[in-house]
Amino acid sequence: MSNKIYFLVLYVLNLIFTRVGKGENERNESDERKKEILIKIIDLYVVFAVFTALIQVAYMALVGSFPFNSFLSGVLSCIGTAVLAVCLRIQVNKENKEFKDLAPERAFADFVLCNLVLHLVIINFLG
Amino acid sequence: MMAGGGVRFLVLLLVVAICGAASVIQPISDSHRSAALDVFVPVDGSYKSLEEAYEALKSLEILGIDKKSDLSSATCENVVKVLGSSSSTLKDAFYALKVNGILKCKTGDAVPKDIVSQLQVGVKDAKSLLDFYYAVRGLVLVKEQFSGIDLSLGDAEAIFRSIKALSQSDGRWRYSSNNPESSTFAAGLAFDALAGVISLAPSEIDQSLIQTLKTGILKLFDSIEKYDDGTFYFDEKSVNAHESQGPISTTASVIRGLTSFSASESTGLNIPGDKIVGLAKFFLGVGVPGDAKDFFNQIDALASLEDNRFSVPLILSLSSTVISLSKKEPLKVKVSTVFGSKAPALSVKLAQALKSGSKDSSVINNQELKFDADSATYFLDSFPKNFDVGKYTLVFEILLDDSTHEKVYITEAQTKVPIAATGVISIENAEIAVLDSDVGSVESQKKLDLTKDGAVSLSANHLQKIRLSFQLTTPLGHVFKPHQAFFKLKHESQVEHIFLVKTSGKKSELVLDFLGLVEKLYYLSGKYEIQLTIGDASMENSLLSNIGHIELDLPERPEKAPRPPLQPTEPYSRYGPKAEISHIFRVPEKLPAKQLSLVFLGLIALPFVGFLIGLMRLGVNIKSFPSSAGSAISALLFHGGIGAVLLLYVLFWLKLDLFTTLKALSLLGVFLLFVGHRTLSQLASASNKLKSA
Repeated sequence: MSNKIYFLVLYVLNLIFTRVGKGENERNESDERKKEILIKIIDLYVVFAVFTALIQVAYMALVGSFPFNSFLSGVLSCIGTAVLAVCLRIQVNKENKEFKDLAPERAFADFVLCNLVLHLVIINFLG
Repeated sequence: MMAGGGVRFLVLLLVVAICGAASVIQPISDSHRSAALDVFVPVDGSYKSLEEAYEALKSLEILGIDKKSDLSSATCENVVKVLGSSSSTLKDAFYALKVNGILKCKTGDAVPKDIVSQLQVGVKDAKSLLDFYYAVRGLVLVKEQFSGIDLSLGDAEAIFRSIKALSQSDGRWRYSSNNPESSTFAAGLAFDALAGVISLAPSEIDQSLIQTLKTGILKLFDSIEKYDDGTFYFDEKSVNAHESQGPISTTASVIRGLTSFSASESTGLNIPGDKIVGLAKFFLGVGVPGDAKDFFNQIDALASLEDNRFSVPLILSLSSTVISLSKKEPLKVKVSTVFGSKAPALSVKLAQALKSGSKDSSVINNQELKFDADSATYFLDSFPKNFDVGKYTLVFEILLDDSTHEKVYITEAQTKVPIAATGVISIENAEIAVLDSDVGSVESQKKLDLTKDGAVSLSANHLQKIRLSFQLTTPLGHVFKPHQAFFKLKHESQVEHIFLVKTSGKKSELVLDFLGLVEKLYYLSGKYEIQLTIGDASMENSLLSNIGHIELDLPERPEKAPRPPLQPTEPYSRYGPKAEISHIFRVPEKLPAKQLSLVFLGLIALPFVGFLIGLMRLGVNIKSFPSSAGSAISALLFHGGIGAVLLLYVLFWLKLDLFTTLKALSLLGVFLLFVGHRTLSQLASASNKLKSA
């Protein structure tokens, strides 16, 4: 039960703040600085997600894997959102030649959409 | 189980004894009288029809039971109503008159005239036998019950002829001229009707007509049926459209007709005496009928036989068909009429006593029985010396003392009665031994006392034999062959085997060769209880004794050998409580302690907090939030939309199902798409402006 509760609340909040942070970040600095900060935010987010996943695995190791589906959904939501954030990072990174023409807002929209779909599946699997 | 077996054998002996008694005829007794009160019970104080009322009242009158006061009021009302109405049927009038004859209801004077004219019209217009019967007999009853009425039958001979026209050549009668089927029951009705015509006729009827009738009656007696013990009866040959009457009704009808015919004219019928007694024996052999109609027919027919002009049958009966020789009981015989009334002076002779199953000559010859006047029984108190135990058929002959009585009373020429003479059988030289099969030498031998349970203990293996032998002798020293001699082996697992002990020559012996019986015993080794049962109807000391045990060592059961049958469990145990079922539930997983979970909940919050701190350190702000109204609204809606979706997910987890969620999600998603597109394109254009600027 607790397996179910903890990740849920926090990830929801994570996403909101991510969006807020991503969408409206502005500094009175240059564009590049903004981009750097964006990258750093994304990195921080990934670290945070992985860290949460690790805590969940440690909890499961301690108390046993019942109910297994909740554990999986919790861990996978962390890892999934981390993966999606990494994708966003790739697309937003200026140094990446492949995605030069892609607007960062578009990448961010993809990120949000994929996260929403991921979380629908996770909630269904949570049980 | 053993007690049950013992009881069963005793019941068998009892049944044999009872069956012996049932084959002996007993005259009508008080058991009939008490049964009559149960059989003839009126429903709600009155009978369903006058016919039933008449049958009940006549039977009770014959048996001497006075129940008239209870029933007279309701039944008399009915009688008066029927006799007073001018539209009653002949049948109702007939039965009303019959009941009136018994109850003597107050009918008034006007009634007879109406009824008489009705009946006379009935006679004239009669087409079927039943019409003739009811009308003619009705007139006879009127003549008996009411005085001073002129009943003229008109042309009696013509009526006689028209009834006679319905007769057949075999002595039976048809019910009407257009019904080809004939019936013996109808013959009885016809005799009754013709007797009525003869008695009502103003002048003598032509003797030739009466003679043809007598020959017809004797022709009917050719179709009489009989049982082996000398019982005679009439039965219908075919089942016809009319109610098919059984033998009791048919025979009763014929007897009624015969007796009324012989009462109506002076010369007697020449019916052989053995047939009369046979008919009486038939009715007595019925016992106590449970059906009201059968009861009435039985009693009425016997009453007709008892007081009639041609012959009164006398019945010989025994109070008990089992004589105990050890107790020196005398043989008691009673001779009486069918209703148990006293017979005239006569002597009874035991002509022969033939032993069943043996071709020897009779043991007793022409022994006269002594008469005890107090109890009106004839008895034989001493049997000859060579009268051994066993089953006998006694042959009695009755001789009337006064020869004039021979015209009035009839007896059977010879009455055969089966009896059983019982006595104490002595059992000697009872022993059981285990023998070695091939050599035949005795391994162990024990003497048995069969009068009490023993504790013999033997052991044998499958290569040996067991031999049981004993000698049964009657009090006179002859070898006795019992009806039942069973040797039972019962295994510990309740499997039983029964073997018969054969009697031959001087002794009874049983040899069981285990080599051949191994398969029959289902290869079950172990302790077997031995039980011996000896029983016979003539044996007063039948026994069932537990001899002891035998340990049998049999080889192992091979694959294909049959298994012993399942033993029946107590029949009532299936209604008792069943075995307790312990369900195995899935052991619930061990859940972690609540505190541990809460601790980890707190721990999870840590990375989140770390994320926020990191964001602040980076200097993240939301200054890019658009200031202009339209964009602000879009931005707000965008964030609101995402929040709404996340809220939907929470609701989905808590209580919604997938379908409603997907429905709501699709709506929100479409909304979010538009709003998000607008917001992000605004942001993109804003940042492009900045870039170009």
